[in-house]
Amino acid sequence: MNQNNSCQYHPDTLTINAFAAGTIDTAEGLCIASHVQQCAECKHQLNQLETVGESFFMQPSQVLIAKGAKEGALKAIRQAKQVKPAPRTPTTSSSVPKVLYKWIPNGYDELDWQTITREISTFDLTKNKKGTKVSLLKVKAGAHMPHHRHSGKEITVILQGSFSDEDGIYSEGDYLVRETHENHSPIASKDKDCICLTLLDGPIELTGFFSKLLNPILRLKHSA
Amino acid sequence: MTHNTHRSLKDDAEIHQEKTWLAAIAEKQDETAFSELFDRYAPKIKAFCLAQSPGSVSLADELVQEVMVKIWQKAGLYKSDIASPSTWIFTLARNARVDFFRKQNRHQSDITTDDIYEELIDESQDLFLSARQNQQKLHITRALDTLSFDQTEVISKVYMEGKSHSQVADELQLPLGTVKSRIRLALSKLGVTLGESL
Ligand SMILES: [Zn+2]
Repeated sequence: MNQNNSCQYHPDTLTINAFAAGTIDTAEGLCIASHVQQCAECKHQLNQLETVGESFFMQPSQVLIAKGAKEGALKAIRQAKQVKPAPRTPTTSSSVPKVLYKWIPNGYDELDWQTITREISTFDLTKNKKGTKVSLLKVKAGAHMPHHRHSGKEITVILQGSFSDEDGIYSEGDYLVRETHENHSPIASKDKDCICLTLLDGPIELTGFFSKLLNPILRLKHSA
Repeated sequence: MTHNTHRSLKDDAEIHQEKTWLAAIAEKQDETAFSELFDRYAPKIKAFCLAQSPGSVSLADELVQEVMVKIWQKAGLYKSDIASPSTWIFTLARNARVDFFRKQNRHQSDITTDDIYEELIDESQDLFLSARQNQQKLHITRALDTLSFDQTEVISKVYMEGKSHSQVADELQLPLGTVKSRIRLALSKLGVTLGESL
């Protein structure tokens, strides 16, 4: 995705600090990376926070290296393949961030979307054993996003289009975090289908109009 | 733990030397250059691993080898105009350590550090970027010496011991909020916060 500096909502400094230190689960890391890649400000901050880590890393220490370790490493590199820098890929109009190419190699249209309602579909990227799930959510232009309440942390990164809720308008690149028990009902903007990367940390519970229909499905999908 | 002492500022000649070695590894598989980098960085990598699991010496030796091989393999991807060799090597060590512990912990995601940390370098088309970054680095390094003991301690636990903010809070028996504001304050002293209110 082309880097744009217009993101309004960013991960906070402590989140980027944890990301730079490598103390954050990589599922959450994937969401952070999807934002950082599009956000010059956060990229810059990440590099600075890595520099802080480097300063600690480079502190003098009394540690001794095992005998024969260097010979072992020399032996290992003689068998190791070197990585050649990839040719610069031409920037396309696709809004798929590079970190997501592994899961979305040919654009959003080629994905095997799972239909939830006429207006909402999802595609699961990954799930860990703790129940943290990263997926894509696609909502038809102008439609209500699933009206829900859930019991854990929720992260949303907007990849395409925009949506709004009680608190504001969110557009491409924005990184949003909701904590437990906030109830919200966003609507996708009318001009374009809205595609988001979402991380859900606990089972979600739908409220309102579609709840009877949707609740079992989403819950099942989440715990499956 | 070391605090606020002897944090050495590398001089430009030294940084230039290390960049030359990385280029020699990438372009002509230069083992002498590799050997020089090994002497400088193997102890740092080992100390970094031991900081997270003190006592696991053989694991640390294993990770030293792994990171050194990564330096060899990825030297061609290193962008000398964007990051200093030591920052780049720190990120490789961090990634190797994260991946190692991720594999140990079956609850973690199957997403690797290669999936998320590549391509996240500041590549703004800025001719002065390199100079500006050196300036900022100098600023950060100097400002580190002005942090209080408490501030240095929490930052060091996060980066060197690889602890999450809540693990740090548990260990120091402090409320999570206190740890977070301590880190925020320290980072703002280092000039790396984005104008957030404390
Ligand atoms: Zn940002």
